[in-house]
Amino acid sequence: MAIEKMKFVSACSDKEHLDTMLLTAMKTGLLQPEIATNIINDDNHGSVISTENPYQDYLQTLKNIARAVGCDLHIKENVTSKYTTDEIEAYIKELNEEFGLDMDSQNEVLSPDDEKALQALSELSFERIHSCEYLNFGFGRLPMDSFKKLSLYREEMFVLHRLYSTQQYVWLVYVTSDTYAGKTAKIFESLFFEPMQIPNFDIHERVEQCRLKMVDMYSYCVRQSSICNMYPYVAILDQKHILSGFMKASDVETYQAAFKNQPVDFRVKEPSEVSELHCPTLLKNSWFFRPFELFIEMYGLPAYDDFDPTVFIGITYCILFGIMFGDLGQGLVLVILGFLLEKKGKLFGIVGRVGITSSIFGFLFGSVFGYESLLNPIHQSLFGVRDKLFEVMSSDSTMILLIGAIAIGGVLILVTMVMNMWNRARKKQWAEFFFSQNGVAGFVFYGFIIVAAVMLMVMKISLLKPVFVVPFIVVPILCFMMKEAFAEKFEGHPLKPEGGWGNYFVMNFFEAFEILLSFVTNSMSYLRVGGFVLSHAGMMLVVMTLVKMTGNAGIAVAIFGNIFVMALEGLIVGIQTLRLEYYEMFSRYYNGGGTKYQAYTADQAE
Amino acid sequence: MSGLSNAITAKARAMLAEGLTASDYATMLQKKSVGEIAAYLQNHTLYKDSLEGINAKAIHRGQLEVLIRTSATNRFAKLIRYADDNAKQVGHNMVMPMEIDLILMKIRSLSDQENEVIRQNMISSLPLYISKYTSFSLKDLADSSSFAEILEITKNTLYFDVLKQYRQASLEEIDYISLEHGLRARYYDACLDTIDKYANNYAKEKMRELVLTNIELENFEIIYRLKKYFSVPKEGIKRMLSNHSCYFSMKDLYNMIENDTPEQMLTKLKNSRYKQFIKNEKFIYIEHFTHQIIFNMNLHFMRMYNEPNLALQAYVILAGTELVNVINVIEGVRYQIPQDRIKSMLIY
Repeated sequence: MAIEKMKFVSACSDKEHLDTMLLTAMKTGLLQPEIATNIINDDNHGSVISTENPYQDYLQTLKNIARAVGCDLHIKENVTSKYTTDEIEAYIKELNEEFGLDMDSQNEVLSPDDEKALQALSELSFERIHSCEYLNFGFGRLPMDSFKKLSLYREEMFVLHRLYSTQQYVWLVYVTSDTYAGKTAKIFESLFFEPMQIPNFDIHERVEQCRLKMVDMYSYCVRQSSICNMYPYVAILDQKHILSGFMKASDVETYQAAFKNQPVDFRVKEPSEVSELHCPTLLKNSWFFRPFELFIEMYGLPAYDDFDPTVFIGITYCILFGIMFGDLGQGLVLVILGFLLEKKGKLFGIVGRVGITSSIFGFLFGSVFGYESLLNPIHQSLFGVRDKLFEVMSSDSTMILLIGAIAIGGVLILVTMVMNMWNRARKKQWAEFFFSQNGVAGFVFYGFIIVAAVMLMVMKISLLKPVFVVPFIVVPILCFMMKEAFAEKFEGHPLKPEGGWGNYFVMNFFEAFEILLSFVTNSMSYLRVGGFVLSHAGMMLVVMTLVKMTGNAGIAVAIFGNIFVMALEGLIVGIQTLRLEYYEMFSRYYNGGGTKYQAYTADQAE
Repeated sequence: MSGLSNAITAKARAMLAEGLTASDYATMLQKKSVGEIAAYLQNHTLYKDSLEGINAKAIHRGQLEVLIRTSATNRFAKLIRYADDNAKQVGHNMVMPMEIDLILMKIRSLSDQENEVIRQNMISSLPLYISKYTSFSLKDLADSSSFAEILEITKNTLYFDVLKQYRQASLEEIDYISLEHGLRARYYDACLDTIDKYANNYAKEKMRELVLTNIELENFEIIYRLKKYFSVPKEGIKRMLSNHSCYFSMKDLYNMIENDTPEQMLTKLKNSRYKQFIKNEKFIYIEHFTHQIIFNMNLHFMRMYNEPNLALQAYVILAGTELVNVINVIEGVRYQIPQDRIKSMLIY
């Protein structure tokens, strides 16, 4: 239940060594750099680097050329040469001329199928095709439908060779004499032939010759482009170039060590010292709770100085899911599936973990794949009961389940109030701490209602007497109504509201009424916990009835029934539990507002 | 009617709903080239299955048209899978106009054997994608080199009786208009015969209404066009008409030939029972006007009645209209015709 400690690190170098410093910082993949405009201000007289990135265009052009000529470009780790922009432009021009490309043709990229056909054609040797004096060649795509019609031209004077085909096209080369060239071209044109140019030479040979330099230049451009992309993060203060950002406190030493032998100075600060900057958040949790970070990320990460609710959500989610989806067999299936597929995503991790609580509650409910009496002997020997510990489908159990669900809800609401109070106290938001519906006033009010209800039901003692009602109900309600006025007072403003007391009380009367209603609806919302216990048991009862009805096919029905219930019920229960977490609990104690720590890497730079 | 056949109505309506919308047409009209239209159809419309794997940038307009037509035929095949044997006859009826066009084209190419272009057009426009539904081999027809061979190929088809009347004539002497008229009459008879085989009288009545109004409006087009643009003798016009009518009687049509100007004919059409299917359509040219009526009528019938065979018949017309729209858009964009002009020609 923690947020990773961060540090604000600034690396400083001169202009000459700037690119090396940026490259090293990028390679470490540890820093989340802060944009330079957030660092500079009127006081420090800083400036930023205002250079355009020409390498981005070069990269695109080189990629287009490579694609057009079928050259596989990869990034080399060590670039052997340095190239000026003039040299790069000259080489691009040279490549365009060499391969007969122009700016337009670079966009007309050969499809992979075209390339395969061209490869097949190259076996005939392009040079030899072009050296034929009296023979005329045509190469291109013919729609499959048209290809079937070619047989109707059997007396015509051409021969063809099928090079490659897909569902839509046949790539072919046809040969005819000069005498029939015009007529043959017209026939093919009428059949929607899409002609392609036969290259003058074997392009692959030439590409091989150029490949080394192209790859080297491409890698150089990638590197330079990455460096240029980092310039917006560099602030210039007193002729010094500074790259600043946040990183994990534990990584600071590794980061500094990466700049060994470079003239780079460092300054390390606590995030609190740079409060004008927004420190990113990185959640740090144990193995068991780590998958639940997904839910926190979905809702919004906590701010760096806030607290991480992952453990709380992990515990409550597992318990609520386990109660609603209580089945030992199905729970174990979830455990196996979840842990087997954990590497595929955090959601599977969650499935595995909720499977554990499903199994536990399934054991307590005595349910195994819908067989409700399988665990009876174990229950009898372990708990000394007559049949089983808890018969979900018994009519006596219904009220226990529903009241139990509201009780769980009551406890969770009170716990979330305590968490909110702790959070508010940490931030010194005293008006919220004392007077809000989730603060002391709310806790006293709701706690009293719960205690009064329990006393009335269990001990038949009514606490609804003036001596209790005034301090535990009336005063908290007044606190809800006065919260805003008190908040103003705590902040040093006058107590009297701007619109006058009359207006204030009318508005806050309805607000207090809404708060009271929300206590009722929030508590009722937890009824679904009991409801889904019944629903799950009910669905499995249907499956079991079908198993009995289908005789020999019963096993298949049991298997498919269980799969169906697991998929449907699992999904619904998962969503409903998440709803309880987000709407009933998070809304009481959690604010979010944090940004995720994302270190800058070479991939991002590209 | 079996439940399986009833599925046709639901499926036909669903397939119609998947068709191109006004916004699809608007988007296509903004495209600058055939390639861009092909890419749009390939990525955003129900034609994507048939256009999968094409090179949208380089595709030939003719090939695009073939693929779009293939797509329509494939969809029809999906629909007819649910139909009973009798309804499957609709599949053949659907391709009959194409068969007739091919027969006529072949006879013309035989009469001018020196003209390579006619032959090439014949082969390139050979719709092999409908081979499954045709009553003779399209390739054999394209390959034939004499009228006798054509007769041999069409020996077991509905066209034979009409074609054999021209056996003795030399190819140059054949009256193409009366030949076409005869073949079309066979087509209409075939459509009506198919409908008559249905057991459901109510469906029969509605389906006949659709076919007969189609024939009647075609007669109307012939009279209007010949009166407005050609000085064809009245008896000559009468000979060119099919002997079927629906909302008008044949006597009404003959009266129009005798007494009305084209404008008066149009007024009569607008005030007839067709009125309910004319929705403020702007008159551009007669065929567009009548096709608009046919489209509205089929759409109305498909929405109003649950009869599967009716749905099948209406779907063929409606999908065919969409096909013509797409081809109009392609041609319009290709020849850089102003967007509003192309749009006015579309029926949807």
